[in-house]
Amino acid sequence: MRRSRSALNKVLRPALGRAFVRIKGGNREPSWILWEILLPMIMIASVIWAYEHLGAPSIFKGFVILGGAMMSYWYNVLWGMGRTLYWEKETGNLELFLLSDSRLPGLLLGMALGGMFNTSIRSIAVIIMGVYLFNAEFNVSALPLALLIFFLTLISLYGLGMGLSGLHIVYGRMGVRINEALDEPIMFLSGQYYPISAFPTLLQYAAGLIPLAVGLDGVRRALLLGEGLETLYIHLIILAVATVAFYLIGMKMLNSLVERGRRDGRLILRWM
Amino acid sequence: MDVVRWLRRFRAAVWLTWKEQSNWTRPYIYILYSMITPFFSVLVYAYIYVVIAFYSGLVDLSRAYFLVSGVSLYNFIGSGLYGLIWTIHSEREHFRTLKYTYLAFPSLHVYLLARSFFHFILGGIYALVMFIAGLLITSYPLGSLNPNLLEVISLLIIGYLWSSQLGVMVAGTSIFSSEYGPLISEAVGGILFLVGAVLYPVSALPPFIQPLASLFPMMEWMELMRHALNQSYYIADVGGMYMSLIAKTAIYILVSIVYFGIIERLTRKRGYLEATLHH
Repeated sequence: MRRSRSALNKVLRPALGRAFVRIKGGNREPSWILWEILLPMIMIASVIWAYEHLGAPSIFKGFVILGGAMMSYWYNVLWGMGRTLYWEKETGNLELFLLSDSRLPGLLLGMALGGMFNTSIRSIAVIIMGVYLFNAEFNVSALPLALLIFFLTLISLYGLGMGLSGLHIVYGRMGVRINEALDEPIMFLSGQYYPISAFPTLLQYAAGLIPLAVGLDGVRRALLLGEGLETLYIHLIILAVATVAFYLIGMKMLNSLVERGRRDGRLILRWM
Repeated sequence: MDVVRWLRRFRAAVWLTWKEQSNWTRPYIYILYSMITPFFSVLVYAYIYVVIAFYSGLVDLSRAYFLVSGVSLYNFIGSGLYGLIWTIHSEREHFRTLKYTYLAFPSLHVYLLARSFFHFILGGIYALVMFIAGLLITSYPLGSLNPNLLEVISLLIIGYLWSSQLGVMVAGTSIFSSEYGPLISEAVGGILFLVGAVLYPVSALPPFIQPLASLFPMMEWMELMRHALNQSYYIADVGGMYMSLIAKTAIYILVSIVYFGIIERLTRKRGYLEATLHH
């Protein structure tokens, strides 16, 4: 009992500590928050006006706003973990952390939690601005179901992000490049600006492998199309399975990559 | 002026950018890698049109052409602009080589232009790939295109001139701030995307934003490029638009030279070339 509590402490304490640093660091300058809200709003406004120019129904405004708000979790939570870990390595903190008694998944959990908090502040502001500037309408009564889908999405993103963070440790700048190369495919397959039901069947299956795509589709169906549990239970099942699967795969991948980094001496190798 | 020596320096800076960008990998791997982003990027935006056609049955190929050409051509400007502005940030903050570069290269202004040249070339390739892929995705008949190659090349050169000078001004401003440098670059790129007739004509913008479009040569350049790529694309006053584009480009070049000169003096005086904030 005492041993399991101690093991849990080695995950939770660094998680809270690292989350605090990320939250404090990410919000210490209020103007950054303003910038990080306005910049996505520029892209969202561009796409909404493009839809208006094409004569799209007004429901698409909601699609774009939710897509813009949720896509930032992909950048800031999933890849944010990897990028922050890479930066820890470059500044020499990673080796100190690995020498300590704490667990690496705890550090990554802290980065993910901090990223989730910071992104949520910005995403909520983006949605509020979207509602006021573009008169987007949402079905607020479906909020509890949408939040359930949303949190399951975040947890599965954490599992996936844990595995992909290992790439940053072992491959350095190449990990950053892999991250950059995956951004656009994920934006497309997640249906950032439109429903994935418009895709051909094969692409819809491919999108089903990405938790963000499933989560975004579920949240949109709940908040925009007013669908309930009777149709969205499939999304919940997929996300629950993805959460467990990505956690297990992520842990295995992270351990294997860290082990490889130890063996090849890459954990302390900088500027690569 | 020793042109050969100048070109040799320029080439060295372009080569450095290529090496840094490709991370010293094999060229074919980098080319394959580079194609992923534009290919999916055009899918993201071309699907806006496809989805509307799918749901509402609206098929208007002229709008498909507008959207696909806008997104594709934006890559030429965006890639060069981001690349140029990021040079300051990455060299000063990440690699900490800006001070050595400053000592080794006779002109920081020219160095930035040379470093951005690779990004413009890459952006041009992106634009071509995206343009063809986007038109195929939206079922636009490629055979109906009637490009004027001389006009396209001239406009690409003019595009490089004004956008690289805009990039130099933004990069110069970013010397004064480590935190805001990348944000400023994203903001300028975002504003060009918003008001530069990329996804929709400027007339589709709310009236209070429309005057912002006239500050940049982007709208004229974008419309003229569309016309150059397909002569049947209608522009009411092609000559007037060329005049406006050339005049704005000339102003950008002049302002950039003066502005960057002031920035450079201030930078040296305050020691910002080697000031890092471990960002």
